[in-house]
Amino acid sequence: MSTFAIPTVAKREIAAPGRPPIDRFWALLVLLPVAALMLVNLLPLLWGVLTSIKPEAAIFATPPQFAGFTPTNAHYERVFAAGFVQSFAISLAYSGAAVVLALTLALPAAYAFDRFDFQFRQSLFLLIVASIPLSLGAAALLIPNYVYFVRLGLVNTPFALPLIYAAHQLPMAIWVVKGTI
Amino acid sequence: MRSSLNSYGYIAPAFALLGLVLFAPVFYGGWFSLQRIQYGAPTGFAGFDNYAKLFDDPELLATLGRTFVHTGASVIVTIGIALALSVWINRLAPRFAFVVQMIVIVPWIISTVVAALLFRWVFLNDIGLAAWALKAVGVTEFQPLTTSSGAMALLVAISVWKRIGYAVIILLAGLKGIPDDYTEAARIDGANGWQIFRRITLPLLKTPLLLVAIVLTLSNINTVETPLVTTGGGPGDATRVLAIEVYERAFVNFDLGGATALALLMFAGNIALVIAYVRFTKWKA
Repeated sequence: MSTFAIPTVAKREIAAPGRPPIDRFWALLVLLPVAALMLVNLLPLLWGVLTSIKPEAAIFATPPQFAGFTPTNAHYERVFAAGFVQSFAISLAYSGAAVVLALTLALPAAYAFDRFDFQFRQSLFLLIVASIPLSLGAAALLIPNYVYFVRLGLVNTPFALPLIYAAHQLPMAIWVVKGTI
Repeated sequence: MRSSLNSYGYIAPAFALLGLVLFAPVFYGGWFSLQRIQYGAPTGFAGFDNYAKLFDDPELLATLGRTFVHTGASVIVTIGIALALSVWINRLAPRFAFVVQMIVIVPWIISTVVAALLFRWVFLNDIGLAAWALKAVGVTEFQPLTTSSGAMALLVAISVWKRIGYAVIILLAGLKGIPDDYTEAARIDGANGWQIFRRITLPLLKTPLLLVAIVLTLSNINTVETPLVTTGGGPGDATRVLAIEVYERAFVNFDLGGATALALLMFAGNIALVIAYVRFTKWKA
């Protein structure tokens, strides 16, 4: 490899001072809108946090107040009093059930798709791949799903949500697991 | 590779769940949309009545147009900004790039409803930050949610804001897949930054760009939450897009037959996009 040492040195020489001045102009041109985007990305979040600790009067004050109000935890107290912990526990249980179900089904399926040869393997896997974008929050499936679950009597049961969550994650899970085993 | 009938036992549970939640509803919905629906229950075969009623609705074409405007504008703006951002991030020092990525991805990972609410809160007419900031620079009349073009612009802005992180991550992965040698060689040959981007980066980024465009189109067409939370379809019908139309037909007007028929037409459009997606994905079984 030592014979190639010379081009390497040459490359470094080109790279270091070789950055033309136009690059700095470009960087600035890109940097400004990006800075604006950072502001736009984080501002609603920070504004939400700020609003959550403001007393009622400060929330509706004009001009908007950034400081100078007495922070309050009244809103948080109300949220906790209204059963936040319980709702969160239910959300957690549902997502937990969905993850466990999706992985339990995805692991053997991904294994079979990767290691075994069987008839229709290609077409079945194509169906999985095609389901990935399909399950990406499809409003088109919302109503058919609803009428079907009404028919099955699954609406308003604790099974409905974990089943839907798991099914929507399953194609992606199979795809990812198959890629890594 | 082992050939075995047992393989079907491995994949059957997964397909059972997909069949129950993803596939069967489509077929059931197809049958359901051909029925006369009274009080949410099918009462007899009606042929294509539900579909015919859809096409009699003079408003539907306008709804389709608004969906087209919302999705088209959102996808184009998202990809434009995401492309610039990802090229920029790709050139940053690794630690700084990590921080910037974190900031960019924030709106994508928080819940759609929360994100839309926060955004709406900032841009709300009287007490929002935006109106106040604009007043400071001399714009007194800023009430985007009360004019039709303003509400649509705001909806597009939220859609872009929400999904840009996803686009950046995918494009960034595509950029990282381009070997440094190519740009280096071009630079040695005397190409400037723009030429390298136009002749090397962009062509090599074609597949990720197409995939992002398809996924963004799908998710913009199919989003109910964003317009529902921010504008509710208003003012008037200004932001009443297809997803809202389906949702309101079903759960506000209780026209389940029409809603199912419209949803299935939408689904057919989704299928076309999915086929395009599959064609561009490098998948192998």
